[in-house]
Amino acid sequence: MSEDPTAPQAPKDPEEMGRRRFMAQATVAIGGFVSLGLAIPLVTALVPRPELLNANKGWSPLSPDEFNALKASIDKPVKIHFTKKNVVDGYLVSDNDYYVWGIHMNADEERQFREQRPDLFDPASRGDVSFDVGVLGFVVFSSVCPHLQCKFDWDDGLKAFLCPCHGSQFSKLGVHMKKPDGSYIGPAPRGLDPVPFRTQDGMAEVEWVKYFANVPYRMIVSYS
Amino acid sequence: MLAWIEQRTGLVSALKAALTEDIPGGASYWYVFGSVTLILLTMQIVTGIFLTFYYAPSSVTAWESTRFIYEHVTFGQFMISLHDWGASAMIILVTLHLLQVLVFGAYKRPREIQWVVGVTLFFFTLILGFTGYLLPWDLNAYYATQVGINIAATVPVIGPQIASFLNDGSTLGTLTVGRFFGIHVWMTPALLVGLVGLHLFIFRHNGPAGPAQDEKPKTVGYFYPEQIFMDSIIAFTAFLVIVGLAIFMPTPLLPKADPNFGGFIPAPAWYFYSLYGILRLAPAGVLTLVATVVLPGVFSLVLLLLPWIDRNPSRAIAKRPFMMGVTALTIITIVGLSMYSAKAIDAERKASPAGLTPVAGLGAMPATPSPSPGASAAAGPDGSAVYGTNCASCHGASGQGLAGAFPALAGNPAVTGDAGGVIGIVANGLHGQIKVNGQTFNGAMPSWHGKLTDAQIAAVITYIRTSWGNKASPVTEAQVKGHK
Repeated sequence: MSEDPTAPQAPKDPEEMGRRRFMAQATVAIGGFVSLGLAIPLVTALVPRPELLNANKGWSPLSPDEFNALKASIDKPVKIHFTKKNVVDGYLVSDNDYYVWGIHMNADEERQFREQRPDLFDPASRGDVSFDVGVLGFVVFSSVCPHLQCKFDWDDGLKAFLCPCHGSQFSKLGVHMKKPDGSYIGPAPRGLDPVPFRTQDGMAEVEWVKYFANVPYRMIVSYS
Repeated sequence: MLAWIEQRTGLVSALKAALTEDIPGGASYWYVFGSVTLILLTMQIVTGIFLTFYYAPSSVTAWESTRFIYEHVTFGQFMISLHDWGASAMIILVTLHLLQVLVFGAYKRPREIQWVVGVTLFFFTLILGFTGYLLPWDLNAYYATQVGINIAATVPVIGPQIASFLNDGSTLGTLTVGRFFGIHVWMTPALLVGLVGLHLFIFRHNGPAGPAQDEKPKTVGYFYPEQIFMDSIIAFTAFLVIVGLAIFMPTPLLPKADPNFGGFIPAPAWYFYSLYGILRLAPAGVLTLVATVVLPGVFSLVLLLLPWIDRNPSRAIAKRPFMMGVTALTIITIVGLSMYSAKAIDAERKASPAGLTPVAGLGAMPATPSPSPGASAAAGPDGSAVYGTNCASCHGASGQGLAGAFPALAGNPAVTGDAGGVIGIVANGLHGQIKVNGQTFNGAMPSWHGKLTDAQIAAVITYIRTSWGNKASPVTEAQVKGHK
């Protein structure tokens, strides 16, 4: 280099300075235009389309054997598997296996259920639970914890659902349980989540739904 | 503020130093090609990174994820087309840059190493073009790459090893996709960016070569803002052209790669047309090897070592008639070969159009049913999927059929004619010799009644009646039920 690069360039007459300023500004303007022209479609493209969020809505038949076991069960929840056909996951389509927890209630429990779970019956707090819960004496709970979507399990010793991730406990009717001092056991923000359940032509069916995690209200975010 | 940053980082003076560059003889539009190439490279990297958000390299997801980008990503088709046209633009700009340096004699002492790095970058650009071409995993990607790898396999001594390395095994398959993906998105770009840095470093060391003359120019211009302004004008023009092409001529996606697909005529990327031309013109035997391997190999070597082959010390164009003559002749030969190939490929594809109807991009039929995740639950079975599972093994992925055994469904009057006829054939099967479009077929069509549901039969018939250029009315489940 023939001159000190940090030294100001040779001063020019005003017309020359104006010409140079124009070129500098035009360069910046063009650069900005091109960058924006690329950035807008790029960023827009990364936003998922609603059609993808709402894919996969639909009913699936429960395993008949396990549903029969639920009919016979009077004191314990029963894990019931089902296969959801043609689940769309982006560009992949597959048959996915899921399970739910079925509760078979007697008349006494049905009454308790209504009392203890106002969050599922009170129109003000039902959120996206726009379906009937406790149909025909059965409640079907999603198998994912409303806290951070871990899979909880039934603990025979505790006589409660216990989530292994953060220790939340729920009663058989899905009520978030409390310690003797009145504080909740574990960090779950709400009781267990119900999924739509019905019987159709003698087959028990569920609609798999996933709710937004870790909030007190219920908002459906996906069907897979 | 600037002083504050400068004091702590030195970035301001570094930027100033980068922008302050004497240009012997003043700024010129002749010098823009290198900068524009660099800007296009940046654009390729940006759009390429975007595509990796969705693309999945395996033989079962490559085409599917590419199609997903077309159909379910906002601006997805635009981004793919931008990347594709951007690749073409980069090849053009790199070539113009190389030609400018060649004609201006700028590769001569002391810029020999600069030239070698530049030619290497040119080869890397071609590697990117070749490896990127396979990734969509459509029919053309598959067969064009097959041809390319097989040519590499004829290289003496190490040919089989090269082919085995490119394939990652003996055949073009899922491992090949992974390998090409790695080469295309990681290895070559990483090396390329490093070499571009080296290229620029050496450039700054020697300074710009200036006009094609042996005397030192009396005047000097500045890189900033004069040259950079000219650079951005041309880069902007290139950007507008690429965007225009991406919008109005979006890159087509052909049906998925199918190793059993007979009669498909692949075409390489246009910048390999000249190589393809010598391959076609060369007689069989040893000469094929000369045409496909020896000639391009010697050409590459001469290009790479040009500063030591061309001993003429002068840079003035008038004093280098031999070099100018060879350059002109080379350009004419390459353009001529490319035009010959373009014509030949075009003629062959017109004569045998099997598999050439895109499923997305330029030329795609809007009527082609596409599996929409949102609609799939309500819309019933996906005809394209039913076809792929049950029918494509005989009738071909693009309905091209198999000569003598299974008739083509594309352009078949029995398919596009009366709905009752085609429902009968699919539901009840067909045996014995038949004649379609003047050709005889002997294969047996099984009865699909009972193996497929009525809804699936309706969906697949609708699919074959509206795909590959067929434009007949859809068929409903009720029609299939009513037929029995």
